[in-house]
Amino acid sequence: MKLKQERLFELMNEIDDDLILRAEKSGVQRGRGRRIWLRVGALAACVCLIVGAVLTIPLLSGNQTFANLPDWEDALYSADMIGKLFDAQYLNSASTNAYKKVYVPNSDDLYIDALPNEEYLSVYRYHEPAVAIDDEEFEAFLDSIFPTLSDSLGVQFPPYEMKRPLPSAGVEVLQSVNNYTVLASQTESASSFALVGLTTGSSRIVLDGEAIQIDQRQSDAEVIASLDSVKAKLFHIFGTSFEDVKVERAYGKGFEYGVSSITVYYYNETAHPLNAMNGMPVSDHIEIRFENVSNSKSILGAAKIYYIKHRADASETYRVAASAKMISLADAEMLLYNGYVFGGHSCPICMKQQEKVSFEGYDFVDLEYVFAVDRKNSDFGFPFYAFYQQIGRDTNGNLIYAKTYVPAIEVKGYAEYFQSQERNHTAG
Amino acid sequence: MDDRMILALYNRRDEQAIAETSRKYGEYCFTVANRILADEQDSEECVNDTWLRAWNAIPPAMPGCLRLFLAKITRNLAFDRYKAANRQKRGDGELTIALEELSECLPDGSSVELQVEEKELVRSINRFLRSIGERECNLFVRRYFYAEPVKDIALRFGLKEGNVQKILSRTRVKLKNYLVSEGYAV
Repeated sequence: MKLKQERLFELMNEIDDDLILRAEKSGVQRGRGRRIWLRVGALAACVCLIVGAVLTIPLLSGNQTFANLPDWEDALYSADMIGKLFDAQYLNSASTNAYKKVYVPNSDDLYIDALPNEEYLSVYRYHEPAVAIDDEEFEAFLDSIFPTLSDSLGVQFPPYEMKRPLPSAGVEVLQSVNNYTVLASQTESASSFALVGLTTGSSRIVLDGEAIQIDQRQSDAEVIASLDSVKAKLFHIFGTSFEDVKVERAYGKGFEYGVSSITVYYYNETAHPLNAMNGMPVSDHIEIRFENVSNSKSILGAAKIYYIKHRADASETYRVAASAKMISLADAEMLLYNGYVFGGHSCPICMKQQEKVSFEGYDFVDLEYVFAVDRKNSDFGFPFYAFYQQIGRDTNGNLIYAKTYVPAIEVKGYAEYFQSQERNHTAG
Repeated sequence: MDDRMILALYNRRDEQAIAETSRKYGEYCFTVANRILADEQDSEECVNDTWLRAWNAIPPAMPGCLRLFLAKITRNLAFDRYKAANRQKRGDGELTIALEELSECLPDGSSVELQVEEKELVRSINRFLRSIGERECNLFVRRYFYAEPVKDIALRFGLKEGNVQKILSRTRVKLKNYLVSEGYAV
């Protein structure tokens, strides 16, 4: 085995935790007051912008002059409220401040749909339903699943025990046996059951002796067809059935074969209007998450299976808060070209370093709903024009698009909001 | 929010887990990454990658110390980026200096054929770190786990930079001798 200093540095990751923790606590930092003040000062400047997370410098094209902005002073929502959605796109590693990077093998995988021809668009708001935790209901939920699941997996789960307390009201069950872990919980909004399969050679989750696998080279229709027998088994295990199915492929940089994971959802599209959009259904569903298995480059194995059963009607959880006046594409382009766009995580340092992208003559535009990742910032879901501009190609062949958002509804207070962000930036 | 509650959120596949993790450990992980990468945008992306890795790892992983679990993920990701960036161009940051220093710990100075598994080597390093003085060990971990600049270590421990360098140098020589005595010589 060749050992170089780089490998030695990597091996330092494996030294005992107590030695690292002891080193962390060791020593007394002199001049701490000044250093901390500087750090907090810089952080405060960042936080001010993170709250809004909107461009304050002309990263797209031209300076913001705050002239010729549309007059939508009667609009229901303000730019400040829109900005609160974009605290940070935690789950997108390529997110930046003005735009985020999207990786796809070809443009079809962006799933661009025709823009709606509507005068008004719905704005959604999340409501935590006040349904009391019910141990008996949860036990019935678990008891309906465990026997058939155990039979199918060929393992015997030990008796479960409910755990409390959880951060919010709820109960939880954690069971591990052989190469499987089950995590089930009940909150006010839903009961959920997750089966996690650990990597075992070429397979992860095996039902009735059959490894649940798909070939990432297949089309979505082929993938769905190949899972027909698996679907029947899962419907039997969870005692439910759904009419619709969709496949979501996650692409990323650095993956030699382009796909980082594939998720298949079984759900009912009619259960909620938002289910027609890309992404996870907001109503009851079964979800199979496929990830790489150790000995194959094209075959993905089922690593996790989730069953989410809502305890309140999905329409009660995600309610239409209002119908807001849709703006024209021409108005959205005016906002885009003048840099009045919303993006991901934002701080002055990042802004200065982000490469500029011109969206003049952008490649695609789509309508997309965005919900805040962190509900402490906002519980709204607003419709946006999502603009795409190709900016390069990854080493694995994936196309790289810059994606940025302009609200698709009338919004008031653009000038005030962007001016306030500019002041924060200057202060930072 | 305490770590136990954050881990419970991960278990429930509640995306709030990532928000809480970022809120609590964002700056810490950024520091870990930036000491290695010395590039704020790369470090920021590295931290975002850390959240994704943690989301995919928990469950089934149930870390005993969430902070160190995240630090190790961040350190690995940052070091991978560092290596990728330095294949073409030699870096001149703090980590490059620390790596040069670490080469002194190796029995033949640059590379060596080892007949043992890496796990055994890690055990040897752990035994060595437990055999030396606490302050020596702390300095070594701060320098070669966190890639902390000598200047900052000196400030923290109330030492002159030259003294820190001497202590680290002595420790590196001791580690090299220890590894030789454990049979790691060519």
